[in-house]
Amino acid sequence: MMRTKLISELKPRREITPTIAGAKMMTGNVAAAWAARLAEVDYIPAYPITPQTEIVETLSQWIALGEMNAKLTFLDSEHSMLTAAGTGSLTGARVFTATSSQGLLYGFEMLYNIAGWRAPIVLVNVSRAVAAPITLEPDHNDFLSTRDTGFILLQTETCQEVLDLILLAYRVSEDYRVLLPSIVNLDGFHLSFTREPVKLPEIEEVRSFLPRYNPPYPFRASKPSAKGVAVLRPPLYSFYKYQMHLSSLNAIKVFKEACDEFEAYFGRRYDVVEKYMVDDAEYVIVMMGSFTSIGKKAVKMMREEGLSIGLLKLRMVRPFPVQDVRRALEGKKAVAVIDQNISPGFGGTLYAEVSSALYNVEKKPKVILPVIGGIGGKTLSLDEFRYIVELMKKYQEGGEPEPILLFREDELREVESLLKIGVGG
Amino acid sequence: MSKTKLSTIKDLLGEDYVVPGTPLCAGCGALIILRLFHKVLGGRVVWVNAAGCVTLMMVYPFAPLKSSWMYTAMACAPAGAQGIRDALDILIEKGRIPIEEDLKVVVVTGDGAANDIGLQSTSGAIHRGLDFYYLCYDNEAFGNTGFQYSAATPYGSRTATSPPTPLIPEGYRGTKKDLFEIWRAHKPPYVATISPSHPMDVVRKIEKAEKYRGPKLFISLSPCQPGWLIDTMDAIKVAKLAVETGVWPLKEAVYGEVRHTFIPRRLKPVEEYLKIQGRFSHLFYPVKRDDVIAKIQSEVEEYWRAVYAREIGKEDAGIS
Amino acid sequence: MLIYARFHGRGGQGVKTASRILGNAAHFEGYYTQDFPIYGAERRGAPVVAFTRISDEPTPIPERGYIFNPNLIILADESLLNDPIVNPISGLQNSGTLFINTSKPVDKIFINRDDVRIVVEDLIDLSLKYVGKPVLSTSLGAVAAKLTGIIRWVSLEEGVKEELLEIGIRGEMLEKNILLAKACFERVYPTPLPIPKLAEPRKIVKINWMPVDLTIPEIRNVGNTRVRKTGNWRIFKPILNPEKCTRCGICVIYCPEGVITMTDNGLEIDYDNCKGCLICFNECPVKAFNYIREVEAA
Repeated sequence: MMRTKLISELKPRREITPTIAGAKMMTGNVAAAWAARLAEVDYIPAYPITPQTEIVETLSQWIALGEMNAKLTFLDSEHSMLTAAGTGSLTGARVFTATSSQGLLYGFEMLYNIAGWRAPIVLVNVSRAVAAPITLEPDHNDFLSTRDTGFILLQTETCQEVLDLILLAYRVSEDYRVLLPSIVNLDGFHLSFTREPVKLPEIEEVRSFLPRYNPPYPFRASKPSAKGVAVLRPPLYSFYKYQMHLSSLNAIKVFKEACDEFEAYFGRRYDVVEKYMVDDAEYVIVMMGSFTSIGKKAVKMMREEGLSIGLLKLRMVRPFPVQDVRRALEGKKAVAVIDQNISPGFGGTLYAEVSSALYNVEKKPKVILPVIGGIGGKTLSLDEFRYIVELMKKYQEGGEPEPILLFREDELREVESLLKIGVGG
Repeated sequence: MSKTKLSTIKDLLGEDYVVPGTPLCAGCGALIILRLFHKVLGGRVVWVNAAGCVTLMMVYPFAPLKSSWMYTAMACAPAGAQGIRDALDILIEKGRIPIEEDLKVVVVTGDGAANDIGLQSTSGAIHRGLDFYYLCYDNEAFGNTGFQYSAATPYGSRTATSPPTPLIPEGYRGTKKDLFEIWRAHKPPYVATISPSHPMDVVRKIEKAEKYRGPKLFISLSPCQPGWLIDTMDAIKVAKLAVETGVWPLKEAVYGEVRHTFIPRRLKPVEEYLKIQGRFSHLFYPVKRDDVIAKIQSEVEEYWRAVYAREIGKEDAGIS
Repeated sequence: MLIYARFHGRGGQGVKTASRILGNAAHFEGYYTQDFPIYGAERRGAPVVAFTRISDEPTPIPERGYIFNPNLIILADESLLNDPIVNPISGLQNSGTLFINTSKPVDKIFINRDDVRIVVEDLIDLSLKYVGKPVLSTSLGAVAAKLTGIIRWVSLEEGVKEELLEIGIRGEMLEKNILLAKACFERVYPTPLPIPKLAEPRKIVKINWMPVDLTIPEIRNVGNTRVRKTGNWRIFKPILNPEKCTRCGICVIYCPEGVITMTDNGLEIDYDNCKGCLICFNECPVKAFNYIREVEAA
């Protein structure tokens, strides 16, 4: 056993860590607001919901102070908000909006419409688990419910990533090879209300990286058009929908190109997935979102203990980066997919997607372990990651894994004591 | 845009913005009012629509309107109008598009969308003072889905979901929601009822409304041949009777102040209006339901007594 | 499979009901049967289509959707016969039967096929005689049942009753419809229909990504509907007497379709698109309009 170090024994830091030089402490919500400000969005239809509200509050203040020139309208619901976002975009404005959980679901019908209209808005979703039971704590059920809508879906781990991915999302969405809206997701509380250092890019550089939106056929008096029209011929409907699919697939290439440019401008490197100690690993854990940070720490500790393990973080969920996932996971002994969502009666959504990406791969992993964890705001710790590794090893020997819920003994005791109070007797 | 005032029918015979060849029913009342509305507003218009019969004008690849069109969803046409108006405003303000490219934003929905599922977004838009027009074509049921009763269906109407039976001989037992009053309660600059049978009344109202910035709201009676079970040629005739019997008052409210624009000197009996429509035929055959007809008549009279008293100072002026 | 029947008509003419009467009759005859209509955007008066499939297999019919290769076509309205959009005889099988409701004799019917049998009957006339109204649903269903050659009167009678009761037709009106069905059933005779063939094999293609100007579902060529020629919906054609016309413009304002325009030479009517609602006839203050029964599609 190592002796516990005292803080006083550590060397005092003399220089600022280069990665935070010039950075400013801010929440994920404020980082999202900054991204909208730096993207010089024209229009922000809004509606409050915890834990997103700080984003539209921040933007309202900037606009009221004259620091930002955009039209912000509070609507009567998220359904109306998303409708206005879509039609505003079709009129040629760069549109930003944000919601969360129940609000996302309330406006859900319009997500399909906005994508089908080919209106390249960027919507920030601050993840919050879905009622019932109602809660304020996060998981990814709200975000993943949008996977079939046609939106480009991006997931973030840090407050810096929130800002950067929103800028990247506009680049991808507004590219005519894609022309589909994006959702950038950040986890409620763990990012929305958590402050971290965030580097704010210079506005001139952002303007150069992200030129003004050039809408293809906006509503203009001189050029009438009928949008959102009915398509009753089945082959034509099928054609349009498949074109959305092909355009969505284009987003992988467009995103990668934009990431190269982004790095040249701002020095930070992104890709559709992020590999953490994956290349030489035998065991890989797949996950996404803010808890990836916890996962990386666990992987690092287990590596130090001699275990050949890595972590694959999904940054892009739609289009699903099938090739990148395949190349990262082929030849591995076992893969565990941690789903911070639950599809009752099946298990986790990402498990199905990762498994299907790997099925036709020649050197597919022998085991793909479905794990449900971190739902409704339940955190993960090193203990859960160690348990996952045990299971991956166990199923190496044989057996058919079923989805399991990561649940600790202390948590079960907590549940039991709450039940005793609530149920009585 | 300077425009000369339209004062007679002959002034309305110029450019039309709705091209022939729509898929709407022969004799459709909604199409008459839409065409007229468009003539008065001119061509620089974007229509914002919620699900209803009129939606089916625009089925790819055909578009009978020469102006712009945005179908949203059933609940949210006014929110769609908000997005377009806001975007035009900010883009004009930022100098990104010239003012000549501006559009009048006009919501067009049926009564089904206006009275219930779309009421929240309408209330929001009116309350926010959105600068837009709203044209509700009221055929008093969900016409597009086969004439089920809506919140705008009047007492005694046959619909697909309120069939007259021995158990329920009068058909629809509910009452018509008073959308005019709901809208008026928001005190918008302009709200009016109109009828395709009275085109110059429509023209004068739109011309009056155009002077205001903010919500300008219209509810038009919209005779529906397959739903009302009338002859295609009777759309205007039945609309005229609705006005002359007092069933469909023509009125306007400026910032909430109501004034009737057509006050019948003598109300015709409602029976004249009811008996030419198949949707009320069960009130006449096999046995005449005098009780139901009398109830409809007395409700109309009650309404008009108040109007006569308030607007011409004699409460039974037009009542026989 | 025995019968692929396709019904063409206009919304409101009872084509859907006819396909269901045939469906009922075949069902009571003991065959596995399937019937369904297709609804488009079009409203009352626009061309519509319905289908009945009849099988001699003892299992549910393993087919769904539009019948492209019928062996029996029932056309409710002769004015649709040469309509290029409706194209009612498309896919009719060699030696199949085409029934047309018309007052014309068969030698006055012209189609570009000589390998099919044409049967005509004036069902409007029969309906007026038996029911007092031009109701086509019962008569079309009865004719179709007879032309299949596999349905007996008892099954048809039961089929008509069941369908009409379901849509609320009872008592005397039901009796009159039964008499009408009987008359129609006796009026036509069947010839053997060809055994339905499978459609010719067609090639599967790959759909590639296309640029956004083609793939945004929006119409930029607006105001393009004159080519639809909704004049083929018309049953009655309004005729203007220019001598009487005062050019007041009332009909221009009241015409829902906007097919009446005021020109320097007076009113012009776009008959290609006039749906024949006759509001102009009804509302003209000087009664300058008359109307005639339409015989050919516009």
